[in-house]
Amino acid sequence: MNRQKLSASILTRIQKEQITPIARWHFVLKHIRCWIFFALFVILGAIGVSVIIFAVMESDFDFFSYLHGTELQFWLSMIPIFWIVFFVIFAGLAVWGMRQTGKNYRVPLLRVMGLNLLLSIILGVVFYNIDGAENFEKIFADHMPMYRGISHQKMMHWRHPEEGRIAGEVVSMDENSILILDAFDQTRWRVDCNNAVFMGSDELQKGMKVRILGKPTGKNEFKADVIGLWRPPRRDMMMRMPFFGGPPPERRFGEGPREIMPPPPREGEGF
Amino acid sequence: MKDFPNLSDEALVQKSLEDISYFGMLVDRFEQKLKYYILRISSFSDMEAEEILQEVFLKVWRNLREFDGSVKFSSWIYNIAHNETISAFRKAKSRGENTAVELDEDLFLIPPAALDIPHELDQKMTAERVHKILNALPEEYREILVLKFLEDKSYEEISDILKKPMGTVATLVNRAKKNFRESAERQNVSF
Repeated sequence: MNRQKLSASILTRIQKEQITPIARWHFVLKHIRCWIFFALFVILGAIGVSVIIFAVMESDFDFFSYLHGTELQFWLSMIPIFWIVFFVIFAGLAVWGMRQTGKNYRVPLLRVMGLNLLLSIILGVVFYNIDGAENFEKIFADHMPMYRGISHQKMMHWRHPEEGRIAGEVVSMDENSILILDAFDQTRWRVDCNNAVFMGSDELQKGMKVRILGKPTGKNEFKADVIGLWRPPRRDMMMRMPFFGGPPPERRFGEGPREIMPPPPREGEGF
Repeated sequence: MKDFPNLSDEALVQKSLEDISYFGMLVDRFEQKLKYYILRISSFSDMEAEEILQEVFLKVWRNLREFDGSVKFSSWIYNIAHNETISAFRKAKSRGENTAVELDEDLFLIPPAALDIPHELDQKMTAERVHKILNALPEEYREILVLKFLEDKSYEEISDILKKPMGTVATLVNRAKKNFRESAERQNVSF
């Protein structure tokens, strides 16, 4: 096939088969679609990040120094592998999507990955702070038969007084630091809090939901070693991270009479 | 078909959208270059390369409005040729077709210095050996060496043709050169 012949045969074929150039808007749409996919993957990745943060905050890491043996194994089992994989998949797809758009293939892979990670973390923190992570995770737990929700796992973990863990709602506390607790499994406990460490910057109040580490001393009686709020304020949890300057002060019960405070008026406390 | 040598490729693209005969000029400009490129990266026969070339130009015509001038037209058309060729080559390989055919060795004349190889033998001899070694290289290395040393493309152009970052292109060129030399040693080919 010589030079003249090829161009002539191509033009003939184009005219014979009435092949026309695809309209410009088609390519613009394709371009927009790529960016939409990129944005979608970044958002899904960010949701993954927000649930990872949520899982870390729910993981009792504030009790870390008091955990040992099986509790440590539980703590490790709370590492949100599912959500880490979820994030990695969508972060990967976002990177792939971005490289399909325009001339973004020219941008080095590490820079694209870094940008994607930064966007996912920023959006993830925002989602977490508007409780998006908890809601999303709950929807996921409700609709995925094989998936056990993070809150559910935590609740189950704290229903083992025989292993030294109970959790529930504070009914009352007297001047001798004896706490009456309605546990989440509908049993009532008398908890001796003398010399127990209380991890929280606020006073323990009636109606608060707490986790207690200790040991059972009789039928529905418990000796507390460490008491923490069921869901500590985010400020306290952040403070417990090493890079935020160490934990907030811990206090011990039995250092004087303690009065039962009225039920807390604030919102958002609880499950 | 009469060409307008003073018209740039990009201007010809615009004119092609108004008058199809200008597209013939684009075909004429790129036919030989692309055919060589197809032969160099694939080992297809002349006839097979021309069939692919036809498909390349038809695809270029269909997608002409996608070209927005953000990259050189030659890089854009090479990218299409590259994708079509690799796709056809893989299909042929998966069907178990023998794609290794005798080629015009002049297609593989690389200045030995470019590959850090002493230039001692005559060029014809070198071209034969280059072809033999290139054929034995992984696809990724073969195509980058072809673009850099046979098509004489810059890193930026290769980046646009293969849609890879320039840093990756530079790394690949170095690795491909190393691989080329090692492959030559394994095949007891001396230059």
